Amino acid sequence: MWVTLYFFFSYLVFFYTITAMLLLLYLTVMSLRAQRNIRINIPDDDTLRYILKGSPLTPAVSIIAPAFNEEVTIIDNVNAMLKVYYPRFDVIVVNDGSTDKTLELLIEEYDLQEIPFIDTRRVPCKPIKRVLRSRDERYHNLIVVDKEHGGRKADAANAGINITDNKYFVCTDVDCYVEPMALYRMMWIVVNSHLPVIGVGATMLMGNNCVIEDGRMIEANVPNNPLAMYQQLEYMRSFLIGKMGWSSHNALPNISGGFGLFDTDVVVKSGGYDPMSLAEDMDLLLRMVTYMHNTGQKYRLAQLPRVSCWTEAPFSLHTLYRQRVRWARGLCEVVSDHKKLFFNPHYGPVGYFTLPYVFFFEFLAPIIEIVGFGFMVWLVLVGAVNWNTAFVIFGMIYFFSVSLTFLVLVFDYSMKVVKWKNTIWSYIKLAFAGATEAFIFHPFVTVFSIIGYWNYLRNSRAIWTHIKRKGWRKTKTEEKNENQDKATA
Amino acid sequence: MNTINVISYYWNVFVTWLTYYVTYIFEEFREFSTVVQIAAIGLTFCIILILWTLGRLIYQWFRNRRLNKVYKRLDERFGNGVRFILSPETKNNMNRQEELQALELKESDLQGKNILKDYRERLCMSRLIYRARISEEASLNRRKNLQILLRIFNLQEFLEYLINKDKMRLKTEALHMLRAFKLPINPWVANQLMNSKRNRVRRLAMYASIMSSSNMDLEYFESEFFDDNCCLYDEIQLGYVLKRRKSARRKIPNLAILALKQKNPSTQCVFIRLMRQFNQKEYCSELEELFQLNSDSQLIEEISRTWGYLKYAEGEDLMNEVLLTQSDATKITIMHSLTRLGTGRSLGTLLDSYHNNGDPKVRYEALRCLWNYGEEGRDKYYELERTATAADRPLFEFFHNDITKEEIPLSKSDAFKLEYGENLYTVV
Repeated sequence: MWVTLYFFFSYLVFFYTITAMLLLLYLTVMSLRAQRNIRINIPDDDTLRYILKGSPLTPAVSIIAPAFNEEVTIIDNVNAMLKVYYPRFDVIVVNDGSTDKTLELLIEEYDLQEIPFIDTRRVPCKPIKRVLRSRDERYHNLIVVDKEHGGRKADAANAGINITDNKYFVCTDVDCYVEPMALYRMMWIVVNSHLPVIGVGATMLMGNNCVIEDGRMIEANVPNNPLAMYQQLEYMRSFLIGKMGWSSHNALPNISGGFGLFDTDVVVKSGGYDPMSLAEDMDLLLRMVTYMHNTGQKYRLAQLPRVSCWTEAPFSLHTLYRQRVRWARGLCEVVSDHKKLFFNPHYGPVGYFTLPYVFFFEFLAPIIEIVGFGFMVWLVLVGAVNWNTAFVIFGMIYFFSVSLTFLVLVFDYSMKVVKWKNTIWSYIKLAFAGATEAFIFHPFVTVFSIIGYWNYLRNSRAIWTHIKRKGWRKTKTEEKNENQDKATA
Repeated sequence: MNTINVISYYWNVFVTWLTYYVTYIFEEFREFSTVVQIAAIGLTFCIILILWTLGRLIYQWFRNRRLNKVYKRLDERFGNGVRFILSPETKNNMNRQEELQALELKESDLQGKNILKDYRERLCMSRLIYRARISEEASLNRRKNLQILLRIFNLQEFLEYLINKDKMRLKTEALHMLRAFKLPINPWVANQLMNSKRNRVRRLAMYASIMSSSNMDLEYFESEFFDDNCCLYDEIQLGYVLKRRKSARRKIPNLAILALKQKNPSTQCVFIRLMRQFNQKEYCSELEELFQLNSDSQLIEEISRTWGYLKYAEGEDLMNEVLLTQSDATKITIMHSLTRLGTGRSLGTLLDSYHNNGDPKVRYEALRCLWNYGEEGRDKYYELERTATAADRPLFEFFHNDITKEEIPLSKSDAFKLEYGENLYTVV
């Protein structure tokens, strides 16, 4: 019986791996196709501005940025958001009951004053205390919402949705740096689509080593911190291969909570973000898809390969642990809350294609990996390993993951996803990360996911933990000034 | 034919090698299990993929580097001159000699030879001029200067050559340039592009043609070109084209008739919205039949909004008639349009909407309409407030605190127009 079990498990894992690899390869080909279409259909930045800026028909957009205890980066990032190139947009910063000086800094910097507002709660959120606007004409499009602490980002984002009256909104984090052309590029997809676009995702990368001066990114660098570097590569693979591939089937499983554009009406009708969910972005998108299919409306979900947003990656193992455990719990919640969508052709490709993939190859993967690892250790101990076979299989899996990294670099270069300060050095770093990721970074992520699943099963209390920020890298002049100050002191 | 032969040759070579390799693996690993054989093939495939991606990266890097170098060189040599020629401070009727002087060139440099040596230089020069042309500082009215500039570098022929290329990216880029330069496209080529299987090419070709020959634009509008697929991009482009006619003091076509010629309701809405933008009150009556017979709520909303905005009082009875059978959202839009007309004849309908509706949102909007419906409407509002039951009281309290109660919402573009007046389109 043990021998049968051994063979069954070995073959199961092997064919599971082969299927996952084939599907990833398929997604890569689809991503290539989607990127080619985008290269043809989205003109250069100058043309985008030329066509959209002069027309009153260009739709207005709100940038909603929830903030909780963000005093380190708030002013830099709001400045960057206000400097986004787009003819008609407003920035809604939602102060989610910060206990530090976030709100005070905002009031002081932008000369904010309270304005009357109507509390029409189209989507659920904790009570809004006041709405503030700037007296300064330069910041006429800045709105600050001060609300009671909701505990989660979803609650604050909902407050922003209640305040906006624009047809589209972008949800981002206030600690993110938004690329100046991001809105033009995303809205171009909306403006050019013959179907109503309900969501557009954009590539988001790690800005740990990037330099921002006066609200503009002047240097894009790959992070020096190894953890952040691995996450950079992970994000690039996820956005440029996974999401781009899914978008070619109109089957995006998720639009990142860090930066995504949504149709306000559809979001409101779908009930907005779920303030109790730990994977609020995926949950919202699935509810939007459900709503559209239930009401028989056609829609389009799109993904943009160009980088539109930079965020600060967790730079210590502890913060990474908290983030990944939360993500794993969130995935469990989504799988459990939306099980009626799985294998259900009524919900289109998301139902019969994307969600089964998410379940088998994202949700189950850490479990299979951990069991497989334990099995391998046991085989080594009893001396039952055929090393030749093992090396060929490991080699195949390892080189496949490395080849995916190289493909991502090709996509990055040909699509001009990022304008790196030093392209060659950045690619050498990323290639190195790709070659070592399987041994250094991936085991941690797998273990953290398992802990997340375990916490979900134990039904332990979920807490939205706040990640500590360091802020952007300083420019050489700033560093010099700081050193001089220290010396003087 | 040649290309096909080359492709088939390389394909055969590839298949032969692949067969050889698979046979080799099976022979080499004959004694191993199928799993190992599959894994060995997979492993080799991955290694080939890595080598290919590396090769591709290096090739692209060299190619881009070369193109960037050419662009930089041209920018250093001609950039300032081109920007000067197209800048708003420069006069619009520069002659060839003056332009050559600005570019630091002599007539003798051009005699019998092209100043740009190869394909790369022409492509980079076109991009340089295009960027200078559409930059925010450039004046889009320096058309004569631009034409001479393009003639100096022989770029018109080059752009026509580009739109005939198979590479879609270059084709679309060239069409964008032609649109911005307002250069005429060879009618035969234009016709071919407009029959392209790619939607994007068809549209770009059409807008480029319209921009270059303003006499043709009406023909495109009247065609059924938009009917299958019309998006906001088309609306924006149509807006530009109409604005261009208006600035040239030429007649704006009857947009109501153009709307009626379309079959798709969303396309019809585009033309009806544009009627508001271009104040075509005189053609509102053409929409009456469409309003009565159509069941598409989006279309009904758009027509009523247009009638309200353009103060087409003759449509009031029709709106009152249709109101009762519509969905809540459409009802609200029609009520706002009736309020905007403000003739005094629809007071009963508004009161009816308040009394006989279950949805609080419709009742709330009915109150807002009464509030804004002149003195008579406001009297009725106060009367309703006095006689309101305890269940209705929160509605009035909420209305009392509503700072937007004196605004009748328009579509966003109309609100923008009210704010900025006539100066709507900046790029023409």
